Amino acid sequence: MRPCFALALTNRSALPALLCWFLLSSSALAQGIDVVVASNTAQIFVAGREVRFENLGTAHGGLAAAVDDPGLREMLAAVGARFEWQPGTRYVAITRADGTLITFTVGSNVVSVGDSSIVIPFAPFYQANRLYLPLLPLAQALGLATHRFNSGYAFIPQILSARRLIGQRRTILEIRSAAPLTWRTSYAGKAGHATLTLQFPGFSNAAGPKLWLGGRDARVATFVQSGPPGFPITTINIDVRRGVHFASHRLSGGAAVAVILARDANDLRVAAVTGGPSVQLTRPPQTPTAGPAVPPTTVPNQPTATPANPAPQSAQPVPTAQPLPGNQSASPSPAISSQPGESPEPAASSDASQQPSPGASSSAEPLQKISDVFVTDTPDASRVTLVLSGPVTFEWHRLGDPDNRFWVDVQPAELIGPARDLKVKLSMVQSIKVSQHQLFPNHVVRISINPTQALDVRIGPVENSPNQLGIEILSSPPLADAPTSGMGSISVAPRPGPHMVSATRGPTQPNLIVIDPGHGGNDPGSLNPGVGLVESHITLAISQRLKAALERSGWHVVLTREGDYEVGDPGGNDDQELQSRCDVANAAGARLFISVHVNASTSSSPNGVTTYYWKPGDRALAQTIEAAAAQSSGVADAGIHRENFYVIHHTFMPAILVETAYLSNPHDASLLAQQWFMNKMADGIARGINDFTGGAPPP
Amino acid sequence: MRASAALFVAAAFLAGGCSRHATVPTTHHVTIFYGRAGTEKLVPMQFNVDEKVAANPSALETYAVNQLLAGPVVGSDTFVQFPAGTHATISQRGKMVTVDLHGPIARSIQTGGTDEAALFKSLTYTLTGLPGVSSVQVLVEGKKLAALPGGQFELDEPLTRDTFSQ
Repeated sequence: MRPCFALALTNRSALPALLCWFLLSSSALAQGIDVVVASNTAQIFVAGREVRFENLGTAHGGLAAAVDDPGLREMLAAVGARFEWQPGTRYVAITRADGTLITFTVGSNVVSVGDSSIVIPFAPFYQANRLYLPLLPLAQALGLATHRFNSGYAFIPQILSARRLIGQRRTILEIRSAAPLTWRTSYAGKAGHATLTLQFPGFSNAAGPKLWLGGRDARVATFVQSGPPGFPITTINIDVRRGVHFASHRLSGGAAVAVILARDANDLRVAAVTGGPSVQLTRPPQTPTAGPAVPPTTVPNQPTATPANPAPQSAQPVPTAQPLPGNQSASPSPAISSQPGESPEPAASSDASQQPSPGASSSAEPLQKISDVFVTDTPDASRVTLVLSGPVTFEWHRLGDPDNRFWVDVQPAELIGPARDLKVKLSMVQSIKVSQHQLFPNHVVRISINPTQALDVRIGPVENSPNQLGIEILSSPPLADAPTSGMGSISVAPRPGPHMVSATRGPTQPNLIVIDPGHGGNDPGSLNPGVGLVESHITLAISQRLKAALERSGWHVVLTREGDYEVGDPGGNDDQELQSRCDVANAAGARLFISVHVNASTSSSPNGVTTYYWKPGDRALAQTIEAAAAQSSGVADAGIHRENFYVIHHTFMPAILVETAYLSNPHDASLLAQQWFMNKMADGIARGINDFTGGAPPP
Repeated sequence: MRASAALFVAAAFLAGGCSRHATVPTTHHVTIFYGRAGTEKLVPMQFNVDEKVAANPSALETYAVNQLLAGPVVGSDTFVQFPAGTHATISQRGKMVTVDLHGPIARSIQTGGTDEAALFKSLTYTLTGLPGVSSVQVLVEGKKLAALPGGQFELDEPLTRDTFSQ
C-alpha cells in the first residue's frame, strides 16, 4: 500500500490517495486488523490554553485522539464546538460555533466541512473498541491555524474572512471566525483623521491585509497580526470619517462580529445586517467562509519553536523521594527524605563542595531563590514551607539536651526579602528564624528552630508541590537513638503535573509582565465625585506609567487594557470580564501578573497602600512590592493581606493586586489627582518587581 | 391606656410570683460580626433575640443577616456597610446557608477590595457562628457569580471561615 500512496502524492492528485487510503482502511476494517497507536506526549494548546489529553497517540505517522478523551471535549469546548457521537457508530458530527457541520466517517479519508469536503491523511479508526480521530485535520476542520513548537502544537482560532456591506445609510464590516470572537474596541481621533481599532486577542489573521470600505463612512480596514505565534493578536484598524458613529455587535453563534458605521446613531442597530452588496477583500482570503480550504492531504507542519512559543519549559520532572503530604495533616507515613549524616558538626555551616552526596550541589550550580516562607499548623505538627525556584540540597543538625536546637541549611539558595521570625502553634517550639546565613563561598539559607525539648523533624518535598521544601515538626519526641544530622536534596520539576496547582507553572515568556489596570469600560470602579476622580482612569494612568518604568528596565510588558474599555466581551458578564484578564496573562505565559487598583471605603479614615496575594507562594512578591510602593510614593504602608480576589487566584503565575491608595480618604485622594504621585507609585511598584525578580532577564 | 398596661404588668408579676411553676424567660444571644472599615478586623456585637427566633434556624439566620445589612448601632462610620437598599433572601441546605443578595449591590459595588473582603468576612463569620452552619454561598439576584459586579472577591464557591486570613 505504501508505494500506492507515495505515487498518489507524487502526482499531486487527491483522488489516487483517496482511493488508496479508502482501500487500506476498508481492508483493515474488514480484516479486523488493529491500527497500532503509540502513546504521544505532545503538549496541545487550544486558543491559548493548555489542553491535556489522556489518550493522545500516534497512528499512520500523525496525531490521533480518542473521541472519549476528555482532552478532545475540552479542545472542542475551547472553540465553542459541539460534539455528537454514539459509541459503535461510524459517524462523528461536530458543529462549530459558526454553525458549520463537520462530519468524520470511520474508514473514510474525506471529511465534510459544511458544503465542502477535505481529504485527510488517515481515516478515523477503531482500536480496542475506541474510536480515534486524526487531530491535526480536526483542527483544520475547526478553522484553527496550527503552530508547531518543540514539544507540541498550538491550535489558534483565526479571523477567517471579512466583507463589507454598504447600504444607503451605513457601512458594515462583517468579520467571521469559526470560534467565538472576543474583542476590544478603542477609538483615537485627531484633526481630520480618526481610527477605530478592534483587537482580537488570541486570534491569528487569515483574512488578508486590507479591505476597502467605500470611502463614505470609512476608507479602509487594515488587518495586522502581532504577538507571539502561540497567542497572536489580530488588530483591525478602520480609517473612519469624522463624525461617523460606530457600534460593534456580536452576530448569532458568537463567531462573527458586525462593525456598523453610520452618520446617524439611530442606524447603529444590528437589524438587517445581512444582505446588501458584498465586496471581497483586496486580496482573497485564504479560506472561504464556508470552511477552511486547507490544501488536500497537507498536514500543517510549521517551523519549530521560536523563543516566544507557548510551551512551558521542556525540562522533565525529576522524581523526588518521599514527599511530605500536601494536606495539613501530619501523616504517619514515613516522609523523612533526609539521610543520617556521617559527621555532625553542629556549629559549622556546610560547604556542599566538601560534602559530596547524591544530588549535592557545588558552587557551580545555579543559585536558587526562596521566594516565600510560610507556616501551616495542625494539632499534631507544624510545617515550615520554603518555596523554591529550583533544585537545592539541604543539611540538618540537632544539638543534644539541654539545648536541642535544630537547624537546616539550604543551598545554593538566596532568601528573597528580609529574615523572618516565624511562630508555630506547637508549644515546645519557642521560635523559628529563617535567614540568609552565608553569602560566600556558597549562598546558604538557614532555618533555625529553637525548642524547649528534643524535636522529631521530617524534611522533604511537599506532595503535589514539587517546588516546595517542607520542614515538618512533629509534636511527638524523637527516638532516643535518632540521628543528630543528615542531608538530602530536592529536585524541582518546573513542569506541572495534571492536578498540580497552577501557581507552580513556569512562565513561557520569562521577560513578560502583564499589568492589569483594574475596572474600565462599563465598570468605572470606585468614584470620588468631590474631586472628580474615577478609579478606572487612575488605574490605567498608573499602569501606563508602570509599563514605561518596567520597559526601561528591559521587561516586555502587556496591559490587559490600554483604554477605557472592557477586556472581555462588552456585553458579557462580570465572570467573563475577570477571567478575560486572567486569560491575557495565562495564554501569554507571563512571568508576573500585577493588578492595579484604587481602594475605597465606607469610612473616610482608612488610607495607604495595600497589597493582596492569594497563592501562598506569592507572599514575598506582595511584601516586596508593598514596601517599595509605600516608600516611593510616601503613602502609609497598610500592609499585605491574603484574600481570594479572582484575578490573583485564577492566574497561573505569581500574581498580586495592589490597592494603591484610598479614593475615600481626603489626603490620599488629593495625592491620586497628582501626576507626580502616580509616577512615584508606578516607580515604586516597578522597583518592587525588580527587587523580587532580580531584574529583567537578558533578551 | 398606660394605667391599664401598668395594671396588667403588675398583675402578671404578682401572678408569676405566686406560682411555684413560673418559667424565667431565657435570654438568647446572637453574635453579629461587623467589619472594621479599611481592615480585616471583625468586631463582635451581641444582640438579644426572643425564644421564637432562637428556636427557628431560618428565622435566626434571617435576623442575623438583617442586622448586618442594617449596620451597627453605634460607630457606624467606622464599619464596613452594605450599600443602602441591599436586601437578602436566606435559605439553608444541610450546613450551607445561601444568601441571595438583591438591590444596589447587585448592580455594582463601590468600595475597594479591602472593604469588599471585610463585608463577606463579616457575613461568613456571623452565619457560621450560628448552630448548624458551616459555609455560606452568596448569590446575586439568584445567580452564582465569580464576583460582585465591579468587585474582586471570588464568590463562586461557598465561603467558610478558612476562606479568610485568620
